[in-house]
Amino acid sequence: MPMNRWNRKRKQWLDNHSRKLQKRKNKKKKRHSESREIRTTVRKKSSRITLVPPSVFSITDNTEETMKFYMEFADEINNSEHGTTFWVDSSHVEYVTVDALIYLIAILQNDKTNIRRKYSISGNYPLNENANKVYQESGFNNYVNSSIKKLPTPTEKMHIIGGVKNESEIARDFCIFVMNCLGISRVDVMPLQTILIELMSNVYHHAYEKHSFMAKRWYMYAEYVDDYIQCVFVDTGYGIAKTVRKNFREWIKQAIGFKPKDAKLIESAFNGDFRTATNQPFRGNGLNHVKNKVLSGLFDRFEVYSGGGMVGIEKNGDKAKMTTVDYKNTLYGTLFVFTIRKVQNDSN
Amino acid sequence: MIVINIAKDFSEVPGGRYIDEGDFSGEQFRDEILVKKYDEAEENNEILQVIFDGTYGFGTSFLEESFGGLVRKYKKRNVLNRIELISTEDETIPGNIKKYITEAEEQLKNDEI
Repeated sequence: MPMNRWNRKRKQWLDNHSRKLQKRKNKKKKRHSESREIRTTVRKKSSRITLVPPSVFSITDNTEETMKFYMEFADEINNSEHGTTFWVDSSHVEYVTVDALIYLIAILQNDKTNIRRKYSISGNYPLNENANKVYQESGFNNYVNSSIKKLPTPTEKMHIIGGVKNESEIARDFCIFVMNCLGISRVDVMPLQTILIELMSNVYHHAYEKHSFMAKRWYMYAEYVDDYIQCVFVDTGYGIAKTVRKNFREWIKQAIGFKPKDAKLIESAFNGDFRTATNQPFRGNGLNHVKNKVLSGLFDRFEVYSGGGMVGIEKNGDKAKMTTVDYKNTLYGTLFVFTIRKVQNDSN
Repeated sequence: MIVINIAKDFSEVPGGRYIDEGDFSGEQFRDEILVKKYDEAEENNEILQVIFDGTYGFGTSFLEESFGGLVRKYKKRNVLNRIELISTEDETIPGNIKKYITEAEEQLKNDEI
């Protein structure tokens, strides 16, 4: 992805070596500016805010803390003055998953707010080798300006990719990746293609409103680890719970201060209750269709984190077993995580 | 018999509902291919066979906009008597399309009343 000048300047990511160079450069700059004569104009120094992600930086494995980090990040962006520099100090991160990195990319790529508020985000890589490897191999470097060489896409990973529209050809590329890794046929991966199309459609039609803080965009990633594929799909919109149409009883409850639990609203949307925000009777089948496709047997684990809730869908015989969890913190948007396991032959 | 093979005649990666949403949408398929072939089948009093096999999969919005939209936008009636749906790779597709067509025809009837 080619980066424009604005992005290069404002999305600097430093590795260990660059960190030392930067320090030296700053020292030199400081010395130089001190020796200069009185300036004619006074340039206001814009503020710098340091944000520290949790050491276990993962929405799936450390949900509350990571959600809290992103909530605080969004608050800082909303409340900070123009031209603020955010420094994401990831040096002490010891464990990271791609879902958390995708959220960071979504904030970096949020040009809708970035350009208006003229802020810049810089950061550094974890010192921990394994965590650093996740940054390098996931394709994170494609979205920041870094001196680290961009790695070619490894065969067992699909780099993080983003889009706005319904990109069925990108979905097909992910399906082909799954087919190649697991040795399964096109017909076997059809439920995956269907789900990805439904999720992209949801982002395009429902996940955002005109004055959303985040730009309309989805992100996707897949990797092949230990005989299974893990797919991550993220949008940073309003979240399912906020965008579904609430029924009369829920409105009344909300009006008197009893907010319906996000996990229950998400579960209800997956169960096919008429919840489309479009109010058109022929719409609103998408999430229910996703649930039906999960039951196809292709998926091993299917989890949806949205707002302050999580719903897990599991195949239990012919029916779906759904588990719900509510969190104290909330996530800006929706995260889908699903795994596809390689079916072992009987002879093996 | 008139035949539409979606994978060959349109795309092996059908997309979303509307044209503005991206390539290979249901609206595009309906307006560029389906309605023309349907009219041809009506004129010649033939059956229109639609083959869904050979693709990577369909979203509900693609199917609904194509077939439900055929009723809504072009005011076609008794569509199910004119078309034959073939899908051996995903057996849920014909059932879903029949539901979309029936619902759209009922809606059309109600709107006229």
